[in-house]
Amino acid sequence: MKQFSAIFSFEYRGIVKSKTFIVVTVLLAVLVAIALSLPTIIGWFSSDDEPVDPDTEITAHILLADGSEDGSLGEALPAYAAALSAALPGYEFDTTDLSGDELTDAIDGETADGAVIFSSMLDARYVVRSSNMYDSVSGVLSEVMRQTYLSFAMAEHGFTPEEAAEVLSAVPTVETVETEKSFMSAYACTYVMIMFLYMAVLLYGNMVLTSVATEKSSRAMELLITTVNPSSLMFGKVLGVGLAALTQLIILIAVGLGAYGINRSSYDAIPIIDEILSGITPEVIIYLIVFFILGFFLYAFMFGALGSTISRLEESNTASTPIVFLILIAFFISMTAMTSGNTDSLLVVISSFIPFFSPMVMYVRICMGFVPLWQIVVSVALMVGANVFIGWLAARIYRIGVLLYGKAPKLGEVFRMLRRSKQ
Amino acid sequence: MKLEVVDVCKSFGTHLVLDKVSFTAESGSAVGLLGRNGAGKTTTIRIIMGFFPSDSGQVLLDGKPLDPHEVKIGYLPEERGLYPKKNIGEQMIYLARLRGMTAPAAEKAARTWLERVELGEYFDKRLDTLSKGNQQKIQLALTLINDPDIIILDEPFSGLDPVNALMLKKLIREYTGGNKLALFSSHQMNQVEEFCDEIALLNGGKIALAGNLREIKRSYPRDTIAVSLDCPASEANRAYAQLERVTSSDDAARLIVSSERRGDTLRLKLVSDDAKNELLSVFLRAGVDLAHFDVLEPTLEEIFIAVTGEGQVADR
Repeated sequence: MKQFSAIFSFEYRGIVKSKTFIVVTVLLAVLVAIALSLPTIIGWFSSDDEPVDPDTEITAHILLADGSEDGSLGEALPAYAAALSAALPGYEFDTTDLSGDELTDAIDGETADGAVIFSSMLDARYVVRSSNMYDSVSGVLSEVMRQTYLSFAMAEHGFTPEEAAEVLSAVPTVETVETEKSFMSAYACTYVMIMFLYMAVLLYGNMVLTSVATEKSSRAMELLITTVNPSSLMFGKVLGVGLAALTQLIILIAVGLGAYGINRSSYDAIPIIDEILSGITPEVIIYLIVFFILGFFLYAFMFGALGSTISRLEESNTASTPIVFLILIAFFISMTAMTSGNTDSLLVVISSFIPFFSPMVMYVRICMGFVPLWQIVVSVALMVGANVFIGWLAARIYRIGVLLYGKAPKLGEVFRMLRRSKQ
Repeated sequence: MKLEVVDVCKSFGTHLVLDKVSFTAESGSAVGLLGRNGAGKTTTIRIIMGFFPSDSGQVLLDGKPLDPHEVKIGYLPEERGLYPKKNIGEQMIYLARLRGMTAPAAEKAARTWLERVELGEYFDKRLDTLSKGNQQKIQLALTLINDPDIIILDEPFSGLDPVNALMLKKLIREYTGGNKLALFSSHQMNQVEEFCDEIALLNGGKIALAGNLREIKRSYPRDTIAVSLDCPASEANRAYAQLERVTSSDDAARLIVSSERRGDTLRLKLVSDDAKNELLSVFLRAGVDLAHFDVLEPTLEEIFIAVTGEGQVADR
């Protein structure tokens, strides 16, 4: 036990005090702080960028002409001009008696930037020298025409202009009431958590592998293995790295909460953030920690065992491929389930019971769907069982692996050696 | 304490590496496990350390099977190596703690031992800032850091300069003087000879010779004498001529089988072990000024070569 705590604290401090760890943690913390301060930062910039005063600058001069055969629209043109001017600050709209070629000449002669020729209340042509992407006349025009048409029609039926305006300005409100969990909020927060699980397992798992391989390649292993029990060595290492990972996680969460607290006022304007945050319940956090711990150790044991079979650091990438594959499969199943919203498909349900996948997949199911309690219990129990078994197996492989130098053995050879050593 | 290796056999694959290896080491003595490259020295030591199991045979400490984790053993593996990227002090404390010391005791011992190997100022430096020889000294210091009851050193002299080799010998001497047990392997016979009490000579996985070094040497014929005269170097030739005059006298010649000049020393093979006193009195009567008159024992190297067979390639 004394040895174990020595190994544990040596590994933990070795990581936490390393330059890489400090740099990465600080960098991530800064990123989190910046990301959570974005609403405030955007606020600073947009406050300088006040909307242009409609009186100050007229950028375009548009003519409105009656193009109907009987000239019956003359009455409506001032209404169009008023409505368009109100909708499009920066544009000047004038009615005109010019028609046809005269209008074209006016535009070509640059006395006007464009012209709208109404052939009926529901039919108009917008003539412009060249339409640029900031020209919003055509976009607004049809709505203005529709409104004008309606108010004229209503006036014909005896509505006063005030009544007509009231009817036309009525805006219906629609409230969505979801009887199941909000997809949007669950998706966003689960996405963040799954990404975290994926990164943590991959990064810290690899750290275990590198640490074991370093001890082997620097030849410190022979001294270690003759001094301490190989199992203590491996478990101490895995636990040390795990705690380092947790330290980083807690620092990042603390920074995140701090940054959110400071910038809180800027968030009130953005309802979607509240919606996402409402998805983070204590239950979700507890499950995250449970699945993180179970998933991390399961993979860390495998990385540790694998690290013991290679002699040089350069082999570590090749060696870790099968494990990375497993993590990727878990990640993709989770992502597919999340984006499709279908968390109850057969594949997803089955893989939420397979310990290599369940830390991520079951987590997605819990966050985005409804999982009976017994299924969660069974899945967690299976993971605990798998952890015990893989931990035991990893310790055995480790014991043999650390003595091997030279070419890294194939998986099959490792198991043959295991069987032989049992006899 | 008494460490016994009894009939240990070990094969790697179909290759028999150790064939019934037996020898004994006792407290207060330094035992040299000697042999050519690939003779099985490291394999023997690794089996003692429990690095891997033997196929058959036993390693006993005071009659009971040895558990290296139960006894305080200082082990210097053949494969040297610690954590190159970590601070020297930090890893010394770590490894001392792994061997059961408390953190404060470990730190104190680490600092003391660094001073002893004259690297005191490197406590906070990274290991890879040291030269290879100095890293070796760190590793030696680590071997002794927890005052072990047994030290096992695999090729401790390799990589050390003469000054450091001398320091190591002093350390081992001091250590066995404290009634502790030292076992080390080497193929450098001249290094071992001066302070090794017992030897076990491995050849091709078998013990070719084992026992007390002095007795082994005594078991060789004691009929060769080396004589030289006390004179300045400039008169070496005159002195040598004087020696030859004495040995060619009738009294001496009947005792001598053959003679051979080695520098200013004359080596004389005598007719029997008993003839040496008679020869000495001839020299004394002749009134020459003797520098030394020694019974020539075979050197360890000569024994080694005689046993392992010159030119014969020992397999692993």
